[in-house]
Amino acid sequence: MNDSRKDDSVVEESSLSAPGCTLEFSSPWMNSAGTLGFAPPAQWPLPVPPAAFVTNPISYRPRKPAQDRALQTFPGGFLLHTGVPSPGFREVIRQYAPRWARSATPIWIHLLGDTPVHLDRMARQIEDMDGVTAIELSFAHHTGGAEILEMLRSVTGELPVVLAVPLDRVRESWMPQAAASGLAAISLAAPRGVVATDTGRGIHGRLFGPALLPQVHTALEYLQGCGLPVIAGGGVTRQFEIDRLIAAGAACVQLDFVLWRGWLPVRSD
Amino acid sequence: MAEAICDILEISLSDEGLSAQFDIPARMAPAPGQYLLGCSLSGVDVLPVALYLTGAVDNRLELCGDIPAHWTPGEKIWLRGPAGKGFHLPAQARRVALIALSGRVSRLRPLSRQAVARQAVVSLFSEYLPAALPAEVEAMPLQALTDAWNWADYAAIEAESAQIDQLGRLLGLERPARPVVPAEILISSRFACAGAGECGLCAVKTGGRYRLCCKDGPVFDLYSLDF
Repeated sequence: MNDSRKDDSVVEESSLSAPGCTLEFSSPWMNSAGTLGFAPPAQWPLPVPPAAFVTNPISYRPRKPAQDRALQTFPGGFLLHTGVPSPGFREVIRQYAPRWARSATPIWIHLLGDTPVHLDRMARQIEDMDGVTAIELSFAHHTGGAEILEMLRSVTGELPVVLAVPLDRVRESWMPQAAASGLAAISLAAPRGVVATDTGRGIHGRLFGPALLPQVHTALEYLQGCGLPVIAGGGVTRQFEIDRLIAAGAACVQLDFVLWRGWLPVRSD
Repeated sequence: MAEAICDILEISLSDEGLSAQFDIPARMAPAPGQYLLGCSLSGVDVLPVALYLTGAVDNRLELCGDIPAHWTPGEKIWLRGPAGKGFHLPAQARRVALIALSGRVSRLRPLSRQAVARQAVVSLFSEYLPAALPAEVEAMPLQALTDAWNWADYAAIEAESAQIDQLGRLLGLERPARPVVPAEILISSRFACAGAGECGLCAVKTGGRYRLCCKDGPVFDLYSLDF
């Protein structure tokens, strides 16, 4: 995006077209979807509260855990395959909407890409909920650009929309059009990959770990010209890396598995 | 959840894998079936591992689990816990069956000591018979379990989630499972978020809905599982 003058002009137009859909970041960090459940925890894992709490991915219909769930480590990180289970939109609303309404931290509802009809239904219902300040949208790995743009149109409404884009998809041809569709921000999400087992069988899933950090900086650099706030995410394991990403232009930083294991020690190198 | 940084005092290797000894604050001692999360301070461990109580030597606790091969004596480990629900050995249990379906007998060992201390007769059913078993515990092959199932007045089982159906067939627990012998099962599963994110990696189906081993278990009432 920062290497395309044509895309820049498109994006500039988009930022003017959605003046009401702006986001404010009161803190340099927030959790990424899938790391802290569906409602804010009683105690934050870091001393400074986050800019927002992002819910686990919510699908319209219940999603079962994958049969072939897997956790496979590799040097520099791990692959996680869970099938992104969700109790379904109605059940999540029933259980957690009262807690969102009471939350002092803004709530971002993360919607899992679905049919445009389902996304539209969920988005319209979310707009009326207390405590909810934004929608973050993600999509299945096999979803094509045209479908993603259609999904974006479905969720766009009164709330700011953040598109979660896996690190390995930020350079795809549909991205400038997505950025120009009234988005409030882009968040960088875990990329997909394959780890081979001893038998040679490939396990597919989302990748996490410190080895991703250079890719996060690359994506951030690439998206600088898009005219939208970019929320960096993936690979952050040490506290100072948040400051570096903010200095590099990120509007905020989403933390993932470091919220489960704690900061990695700072090395002298 | 309590936390402490503890040195590894000793590492032992058995047929089942590694175990590590720690001098852990008493408030953090896990009950049988409960777990601690352990992570090397060196930063090599990307995710913490679940550590289960397997024994006690003097004031030291011996923990087992998927202990990384690079852990060495003297290394500092960040421990958090105890977490999860453990076993509940009934006070009146006098005939206790321990069943290690996946062969991880070490996770049942503290329960065998508890039962023996209460004068119960304890039988262990496993394909893999460990060397270090209390003398009072009778070791039996897994095939003998079917006949012995009605003998016990309490059973503690260790299995992987993929073995639940096999267990149901072995014990004749057709749906809906009717309680015959009071029984609990420790489902050995890998944890990623350890409950913080409800990531679903360790999900198990009970009563038609999914529950998480890390948070709702790892010990469940056997008859709550969907076979």
